[in-house]
Order: sequence, then C-alpha cells, then structure tokens
Amino acid sequence: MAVYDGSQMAQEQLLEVAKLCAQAVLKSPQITGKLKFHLKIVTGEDLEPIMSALAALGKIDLFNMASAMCWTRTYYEGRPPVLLLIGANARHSDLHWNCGACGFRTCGEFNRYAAETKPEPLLMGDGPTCHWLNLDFSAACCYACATAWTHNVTNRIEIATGMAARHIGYLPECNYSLGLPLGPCEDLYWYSRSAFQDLVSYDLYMNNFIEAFPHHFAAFYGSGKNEIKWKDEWWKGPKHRGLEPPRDPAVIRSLFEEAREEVEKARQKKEALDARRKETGA
Amino acid sequence: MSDIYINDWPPFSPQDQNRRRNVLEAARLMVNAAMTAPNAGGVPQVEAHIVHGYKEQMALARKMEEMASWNPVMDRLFKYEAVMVRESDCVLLFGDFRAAETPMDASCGGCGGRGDCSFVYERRTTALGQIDMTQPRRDVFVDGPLCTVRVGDLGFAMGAAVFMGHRLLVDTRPFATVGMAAKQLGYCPDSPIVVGVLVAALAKNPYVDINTDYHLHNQSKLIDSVRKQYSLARQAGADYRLSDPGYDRWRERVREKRQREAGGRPARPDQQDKEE
Repeated sequence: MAVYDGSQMAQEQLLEVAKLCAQAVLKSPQITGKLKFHLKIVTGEDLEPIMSALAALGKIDLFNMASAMCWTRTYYEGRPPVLLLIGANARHSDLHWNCGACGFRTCGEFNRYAAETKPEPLLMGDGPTCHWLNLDFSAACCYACATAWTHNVTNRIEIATGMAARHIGYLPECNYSLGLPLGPCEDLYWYSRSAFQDLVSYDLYMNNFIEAFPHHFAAFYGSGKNEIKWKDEWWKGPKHRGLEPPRDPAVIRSLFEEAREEVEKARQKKEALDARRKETGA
Repeated sequence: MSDIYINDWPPFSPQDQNRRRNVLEAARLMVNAAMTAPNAGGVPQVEAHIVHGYKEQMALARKMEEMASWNPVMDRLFKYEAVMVRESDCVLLFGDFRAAETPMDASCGGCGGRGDCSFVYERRTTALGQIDMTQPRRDVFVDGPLCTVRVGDLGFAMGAAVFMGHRLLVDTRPFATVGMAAKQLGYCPDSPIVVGVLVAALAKNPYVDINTDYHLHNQSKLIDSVRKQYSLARQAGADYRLSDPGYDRWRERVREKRQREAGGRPARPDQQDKEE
C-alpha cells in the first residue's frame, strides 16, 4: 500500500494521455484513406528549444508569442505540458481526383507545381496542399483534441507550436504540422490566457482593436470625414485619426532575419539534446 | 404508455422509421459537435445539412452515379459510395462558406508555399482584397484555390462530427463524393467545398467490408434479384387445390418416419391418419 501525491500523479499521467491522443490520430477515419501521419511526443527539457523558436517567431506574428508566453509560464512553474506533434505531408497527391480544390485543374499540375516550388522559409505550412488530405489531417487532429478532452486534460491545438517544432527539425517529412499541448493540469489553461495578457498592454490591445474594426468606432458617416472615436473625449480632437501607416518593409525584413537566426539557434539546441540522448541511450 | 416497436426491416417502414428517428437524434448532436469544433481563431464558417428520407437519399445517390462518368478516376468511388448513401439512415453535409470568399489571410503559405496569400488572390477576381465569387467555375468539382486554414477548419468540424458519432455508437464515415454531389444539388449553397458524413445504425456497418463491383452486387441488388427471379420460378407451380407435390412429399416423409420408429413395420393406417 502507498500514498501518492495526486497532483504529481496527474502530471505524470499527461504522457499516457498523449499516447492515447496519438492512437486517436492513427485511428481517425479518413476520406482518402491515404494520409500517413508522423507523430512525436515531446516532454521535459526537450520543450525548451521549441519555446525558444516560438518566442523567435513571435517577432513575426503575435500569436506565436502568445503561445510562447503560455508555454514558458507553465514550464518554469514546474508543470510542463506534454506536447504531441502531429504532422503529415499533403504536398503531394496521388489521388488523381483532379477535383480543382487546390486551384490546379489536375493533380498532375498540382504535383508539378509542388516539385518546382521551394517553400519560403518559416511558413506555417509549406504549400501547396491537397485539400482532401488536409481535411483528413485536420479530422485526425480533432480526434486527438477530443480524446484529450474526454480525459479531462486541458489542451489547445496550435499552428504555432507545430510550426516552431517543424522549423527546428521535428517531422522533416511533413509539409504541415500542428502541436497539441496536453496540460498543465488545470481548466482551460490555453484559453483566457493570463500569460498573454501580461504581454499586451491595454493601449496596444485597443489600438489593434480600433485598427481592425474602425467602423465600430466611427462617428457620423454623413460628415464625409470618416471620424474615428479613438479616445475618451474624442470630440476634443485631433478628430481625424487615420490608420497607422504600414510598417517599413525594412523593419519587417530585419525582424524576419532576427527570427531566422534565433530559430536556427533553437535548432542547434535541439540537435545537441538529440546527440546527448543518443550518447546516453535515453 | 405506448410501445415503440423497432425493426430495421423493411426499410422505411414505420418500425424502421422509429429506428431512423433515433439516428437523427445522434446526427443532430454530431452537427452540434461540428459547429463547436476547434478552428483557427474561433471564426464562424461552417454550414450544415441533415439530409434524410427515401426521396432525398435517392436523389443524392443518383447524382453521385451521374457524376461517376464525369471523372474516370473517381468512377468507382462515386458508384460504390452511392450505394452507401442509399443504405444510410441519414447524411450530414458540412461546408465551409469562407474557404474561397473570405480566407484567413494569415500568410501561412499553405496554399502556394509563399509567405503571403497571393497564390489564392492572384487566381481570383478581386477588388481591394475582396474576392468575387459571384460566378464560380463549373468545370471542376471544387472551385479552387481555397484557403488551406479554412479547409483545415472544415476538417476539424468533420472530425468532431465523426468523433461524436462514434461516441454515440452509430456507424459513420466522411466522404468526398457525397459532398461533391450534394454541392451539385445545391446543398451548402455558400460553400465551395462540401464534405458528406454518412450515418447509420444497422446490424452491419454499411461503410466497411465492401465487396468488389459493389454498385452491381449489394444487398439491395440481391434482394431485387430475389423479387425478379422468384416471380419467374413460381410459375412452375400448378393449382394447389388440385395438385400439391410438396404436400404429397411431406406425407411420404411422415410415413417413412413412422416405419423407422416401428422397426420397419408399416405404420397402422388409423395412427397414420391421426398424426397427419
């Protein structure tokens, strides 16, 4: 007989649930019956390079940073989630359905375009993508999410984590991958993200909001001036606040290069961990 | 108190309709699962139908059979899966009404391998980033290119529906052909891509263990063959009131049995009559 720490046991069980989610992916029904899945379960310190890559990619797109913040907080609190990586290659189609969904008339044209086109770096998905394989892939990911949910494990299927992992060397066979963080053991950790709120100030949030939905803040349209109520006493002026000017492309390029360099460092860190594991046989 | 009698035979009879009504309840929950499935950004984008009833299912199956000749590679898929539509209790249809007209615009690269959405927009008629879908292409099954993220979200919806179906222990599977035919018939009118999910609660899962030439050799065809053949076979019969060879043969069997029981002696006539 023994007494166990319930929280510790729940944390340890995350790996078992990840295995069940992997089974759900492989068991999921397919339209095509032809999609092959590639799966990895990442735990512990092997999560660190992925978190680094996420933070780097956060310089390009904010949603990557949101994920990085959530990962980092729970990891350093000592309750790291287990990550299930789900990938597939939908960049080649041997369906020959010639359905047109991809934008090409035939699967042959699609495959030729895919063979001739090198995807740009740091994409979320290395297109083109066969949409029927894409449907099967997503349905399988949904099976994994639902399996985690039925086991009362908080989770959120993420483009960001899947992309970050792929860019540092996980699932090299795949043109697209999604990450499914399982845990930490609390309700809806990956939603209502307090870790993300710490990053985004009220002013930044509202500025984005006004830019995205200017009509929501618009004053009388008939004035012909398209006046935006952008502050509390908006009538006191300046009245005509336009949209922010587009970001300087040079700044965007520079951020992209920074992200690339940092992702490369994260890749090296992952390779070092792989090498150490190989040495120790772990 | 009333009694609800359920029997899946004959199809579409009152007792079978009782069963089908139960499947409809499952189907409704499956649609709800699809509507609340995970998707990119929580954006509403899925439309759905629940199609059921003899007339509706036959119309869908016939359209699939018609479409078989449109594409030689999919010929058998359309024909085999049309049989499954007929055998199903109901058909769920899911479409993504944003897949062509209002992409995610996330520059994900999934459509064309570029770090922007130009692959899709360059292949459409647009004005200020608005895609004009008022005149969709008719020469392909699916008017692409489509947004990869949106189609992925449709996949999540489909997966959630099927997952729910499996939890409710109904047989279910997603199909491309069903969606393509449904689209031709006007279902999911706002979606460029439609997926069909067939649902059934029969003794035998209608979507697995499919014999070859299934469009020619399936349960409905075999039953129809019985109706066809038997009508001819019975015509060898005469007027049963005057001549009945089966009855004569039965009397003979009874006599033989009695003889065996009596150790080879003929049965007494009075006993024979009584037993007969």
